[in-house]
Amino acid sequence: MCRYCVEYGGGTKWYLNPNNYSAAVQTATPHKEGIAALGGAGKNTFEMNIAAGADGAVPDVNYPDTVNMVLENVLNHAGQVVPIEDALKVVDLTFDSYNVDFVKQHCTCRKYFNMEPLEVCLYIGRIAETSGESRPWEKDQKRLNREQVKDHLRAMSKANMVHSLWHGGVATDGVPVLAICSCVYPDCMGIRAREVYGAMNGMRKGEYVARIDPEKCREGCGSTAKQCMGVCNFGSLRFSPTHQHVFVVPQRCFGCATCRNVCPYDAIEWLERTSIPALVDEW
Amino acid sequence: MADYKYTTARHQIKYNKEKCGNAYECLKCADVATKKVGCCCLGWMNSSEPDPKTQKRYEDIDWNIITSFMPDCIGCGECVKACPKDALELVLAEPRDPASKIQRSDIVYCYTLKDGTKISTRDS
Repeated sequence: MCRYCVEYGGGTKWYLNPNNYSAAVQTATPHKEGIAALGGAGKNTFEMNIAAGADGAVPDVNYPDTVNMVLENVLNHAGQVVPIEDALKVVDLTFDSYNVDFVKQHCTCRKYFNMEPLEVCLYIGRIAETSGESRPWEKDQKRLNREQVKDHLRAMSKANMVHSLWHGGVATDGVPVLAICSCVYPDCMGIRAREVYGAMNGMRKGEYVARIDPEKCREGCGSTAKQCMGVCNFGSLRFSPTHQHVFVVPQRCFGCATCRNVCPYDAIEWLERTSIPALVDEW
Repeated sequence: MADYKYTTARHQIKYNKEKCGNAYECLKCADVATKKVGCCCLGWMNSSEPDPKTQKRYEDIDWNIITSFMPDCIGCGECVKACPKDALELVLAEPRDPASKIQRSDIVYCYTLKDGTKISTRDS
């Protein structure tokens, strides 16, 4: 099982442990600094440094030692994929512990790589509290209450976005969630770091894995429309013309639930990653 | 890390901040990289942490061009052509020694550094 869950989960997944949202964790070192960086003027510096430094840190992607160094050390502003239902639970946990409206603003990755700016980045709790006055140049900031945040996340699910949680690094006292975002490849720097460099900490896999029900899949879409394959960001779905149904490559599945959300025939089962022995160490 | 000199072929985009000035006024290179070529390898980033008291707008902040995710760069040079100030340069990589000289079937990765040191991932 992933070390986040084991060490910081309190018997459940790390992001569902209320302790990680408590003042004791969020106001202590080192998370205090991460929260101050993201809620202050240096947010862009904090986030874009990862992209600016990635290429210098990995001059040769085929060089395994370097990649391993990056996996653990350089890209530690780690993201993790979550399905929509878990993202909604994180929203509730955050508001329960610290009732401040979230800030919704442009996605850093998209804006600063000159893509169409998309207002999907949610900064939560203590970060949201200070980010308005500390970054006056960001005129697109909006404040969302609990229900508005949930509506936004559901809308992003409908748009086939992958929900992600972001934390500023693992520390001994806990791992607070700092931001919730809606990502796709290649917009998202985290997914790109994972896909291009193989850097695990760019975007960790989620706590779930999809599995296809062959009967339902074959009798549903068969060889015609395969909507699930078009929305998978991680290349984990393959169609077999001989079997006439879609297969999941379990080692590549990130458990983002976009395929499950679009399947009109309810053919995609949803499994806990830790319930599958071969995948318990695949993060 | 910094001591290693890699010889694996990898081209680079070199950025000249003096020629570019404040990148926010232009951003043509990043636009071409993302919207025309689709490599998404050029971004823009503040050169230092902004001061919210004096810098209230994007125009007030000094922006750099950064190169990132260079494995996706196909070396087409479109961003270099798009730059009106000649601030970008495509540097092609030096060819490395052929790895086949030292490869064996039980060795997964073999590399030769510039000083001749041979590196492999095989446990010995």
